[in-house]
Amino acid sequence: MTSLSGHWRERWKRWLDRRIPPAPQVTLNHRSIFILPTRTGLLFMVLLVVLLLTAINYQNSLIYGLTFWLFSVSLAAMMFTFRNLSGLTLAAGRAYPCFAGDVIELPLRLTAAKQRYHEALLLGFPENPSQLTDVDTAQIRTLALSFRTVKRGPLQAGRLRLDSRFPLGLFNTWTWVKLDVNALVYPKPEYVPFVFASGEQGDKLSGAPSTVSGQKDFQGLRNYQPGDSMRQIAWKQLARGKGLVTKDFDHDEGATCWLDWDVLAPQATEVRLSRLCGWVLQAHQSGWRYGLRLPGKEIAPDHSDGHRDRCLEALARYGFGGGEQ
Amino acid sequence: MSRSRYSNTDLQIPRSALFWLLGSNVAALLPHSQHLPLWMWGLALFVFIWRGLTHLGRLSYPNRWAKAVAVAAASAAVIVAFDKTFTLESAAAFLIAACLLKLLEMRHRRDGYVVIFLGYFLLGTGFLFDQGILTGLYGILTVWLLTSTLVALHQNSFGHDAGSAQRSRRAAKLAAGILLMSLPLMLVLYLLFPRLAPLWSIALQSGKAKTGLSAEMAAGDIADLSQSDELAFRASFSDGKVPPRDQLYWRALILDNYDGRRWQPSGVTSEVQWYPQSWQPPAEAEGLIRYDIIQESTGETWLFALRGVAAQEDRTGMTMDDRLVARQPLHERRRYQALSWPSVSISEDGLAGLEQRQNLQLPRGRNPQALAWAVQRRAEAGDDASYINALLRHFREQDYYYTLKPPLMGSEEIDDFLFDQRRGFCAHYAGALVFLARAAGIPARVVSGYQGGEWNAADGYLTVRQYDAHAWTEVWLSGQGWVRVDPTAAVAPQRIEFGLERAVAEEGTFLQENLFSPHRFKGVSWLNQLRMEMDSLNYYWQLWVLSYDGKRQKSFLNGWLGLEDYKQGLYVLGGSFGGFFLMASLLVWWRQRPLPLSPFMRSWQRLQDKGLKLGLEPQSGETAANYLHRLAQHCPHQRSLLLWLAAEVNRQLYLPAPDSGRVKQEQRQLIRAMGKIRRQLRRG
Repeated sequence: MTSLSGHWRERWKRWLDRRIPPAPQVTLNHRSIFILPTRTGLLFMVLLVVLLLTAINYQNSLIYGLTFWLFSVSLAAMMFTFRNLSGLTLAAGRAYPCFAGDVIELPLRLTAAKQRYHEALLLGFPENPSQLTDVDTAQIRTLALSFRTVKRGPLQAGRLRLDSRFPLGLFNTWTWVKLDVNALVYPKPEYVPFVFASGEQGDKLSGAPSTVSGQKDFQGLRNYQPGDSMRQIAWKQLARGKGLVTKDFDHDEGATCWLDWDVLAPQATEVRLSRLCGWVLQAHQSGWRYGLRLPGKEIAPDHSDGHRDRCLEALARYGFGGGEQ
Repeated sequence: MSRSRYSNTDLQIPRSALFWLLGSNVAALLPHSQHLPLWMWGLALFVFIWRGLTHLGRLSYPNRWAKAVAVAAASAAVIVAFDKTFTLESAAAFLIAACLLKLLEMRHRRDGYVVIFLGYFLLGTGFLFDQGILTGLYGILTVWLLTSTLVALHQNSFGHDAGSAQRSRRAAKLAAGILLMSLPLMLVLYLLFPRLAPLWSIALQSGKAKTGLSAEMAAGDIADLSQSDELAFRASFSDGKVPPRDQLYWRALILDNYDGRRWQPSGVTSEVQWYPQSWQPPAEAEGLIRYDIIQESTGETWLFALRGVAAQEDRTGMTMDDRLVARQPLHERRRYQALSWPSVSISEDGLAGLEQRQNLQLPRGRNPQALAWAVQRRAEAGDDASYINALLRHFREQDYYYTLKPPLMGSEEIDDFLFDQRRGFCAHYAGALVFLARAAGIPARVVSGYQGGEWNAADGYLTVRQYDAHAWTEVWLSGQGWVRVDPTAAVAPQRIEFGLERAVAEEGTFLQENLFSPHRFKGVSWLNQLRMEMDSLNYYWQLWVLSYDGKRQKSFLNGWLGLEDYKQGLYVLGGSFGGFFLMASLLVWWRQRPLPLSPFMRSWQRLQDKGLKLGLEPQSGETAANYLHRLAQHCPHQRSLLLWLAAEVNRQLYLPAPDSGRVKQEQRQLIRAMGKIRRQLRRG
């Protein structure tokens, strides 16, 4: 049963891919728009039948007129509902990366067709919250769609659904659009104690004042200097009226280390990537200079936001080929 | 899948749609105001105030108990108000109460649907009570309001781009657009959709007492009816053969049974021959009158026709006493044709025994003075015809008065009228004449119906109103059969020649109880003109719109579209549907056709195509100059030309010449250059 429905779902997906191929930008037309009556539309038909029976049995011309008018309206509604989507252009923007399991915000740019007002569009990915929006004549609307990521790597968001029942609610028109979203999902960080690579080069944390890594011991108080972290301010001293004082810890800034794929040897790939990710984040926060070794890729030790992003990207893209950009 | 997305119907009703919902529903129930009990307006006001306070956040929605109590109370109130009768009015009141309570509790979009659809249906049921042209126009307005409401219900109320007033304006405009666009198809359907006979007869009818003739007549009844200016029917005559006014006796009922107080139909002669088996006058007969009648609903089976009538339509027939009747009571306005041969003589060879006895029947021992007087007068007169003439002369020459305010008669009604009061309305004179004829042994009967009417010369039709109601007599004379005798013509000839208004002008009682009736102001010429114009507008409305039924449809299809039968009509219907969709798809295609490129762009496109053939693919987002540079590397032979072109294209695009003439000239040069380069372009 499930395999059968799975089979049909696959066929459906293939058909959709042929009909609405993935593209960086999609303009909706009759090929990509689907339309069907809603339950409200069926209720409306029931109303029309009742009105028609009343008209026939009472031989009432005005009720005949009303019935036929409403029937014609329901046909026109089909066209107006279709028009509400037709001509709308969707384009994906560049999204900020996130960690697997987090919600990524995908920017979407909606451009109205010429002299068209697209009203009450409901957009969203399946199983993710939807948004209701309007796109005014000659307007470009940007909105961020939420998508809960599952796997690391280049984002596979699938098709997003765009729904509209405007203006009369008798028909539902929708489309499944696949946009080439340019987004990266980092591995979900897992925080475990550091294990540094052994070997001739950078086998352990070197250049740190304390041999025990990652542990920061309280050293004393000193006067506050602009730029000190809020977490380091001695709030109790401030409360006692002794002015702004900063708690000073021993620090291992400037220490150098290598984060190595091989030290996590028996673990599965994704676990290793998760742990490496956690280490990268921790090392960055500690202010160390760190390098990353992955099979086929090595990033020399450094410390900067750009360096961190490079390392995270390398982890995210591991196994996907593609190379870096 | 849709658990986490908010489904389209679960959405709350947008705040700006609330006013639409309330307003359009008031519009839909206003036409019902005539037959709604007063407390219904109280309920409406209560609902509106509650909803208003909810809207402002002062009051919460009614809870389940409040709703249950409201439903029970409203149902009970409707049942009590309509005295437990199940009529059209009480059904409408139920519907309206349901609609109002739904307005109170509605919260989600699907509640809005229910309210709007109920509104459409209420509008439709409103047409059951009135189908006038103004009601029709008002219906258009209401449909527009309800459709706007439906649009407003789907608008995005979270958007902050537009204020609610602007949004509402847009909803109204869009609804108007949709309605206008659906008009052509509606007209096609209206004209071509098969008009069927009622599928089943409906027990649910209006409980309102209708103004009009009643099946039995007491002396004062018609005088009461004369205070109404309501429409009874309209008639038009084919071939322009309009009978003179004093021949326009529209017969509806034969009253041949008298109990001393009231005249009633005995039913002796009411056996019906239905069309097409019924009697028809010979085709070559002289003086045939063919006419067309649009009769307002009466709730009764009788139709209105002139003397010597022959039924011309299905579901109509004629009785033995020369009347036209319908199979079913007329609960709706009805249009029918009839043919009359007024000069035909009816039963000239004698009456059947039962009919003769019935038309000589008198209540035993009543009105002895009149009986004696009649016998004496009959003896003086010599024969029946001169006796009747003597009676008419008596009415004319003695001081009898024609009045809308007859005095109350004593228990011996005829005696009192003939010898003491001498004042009466047509029914008194007709009753007295029949009594006197029967007393002298001449079969006679009272006929009630309408006499005369207002002739609209401009549009050629006759309007007969309730104040044209009349009663006259028919007496049977041997050798002549039934002959019409109208004693009112003897007493008040103006009544027959000019109508009631002139006849009672001195008395000033015309529509006395109907102060603002426009018919009271026939003397004011512009007002009368306006009234006549309105009347003909209504006439054409009835003629073309309201009385469009199966028969009319057939003749329309035949006469206007040249269609032989219904099958062809169905083809036309299908064809127009197909046309509708074809037009729509053509429109879609036309809107999405690729725009023609400018010569400059076309030339550029062809250069790029050539480049592509040489293996240099243009990349998305690449500028023209960039591509030309790459092309220059690819084809070193044309390098200098290509680089020059890149510079020129850039200049043309980003630094055009100030006047447009120069721009055009430069573009032409560039196009020529591009063509030349393209032809020379070679790899390597």
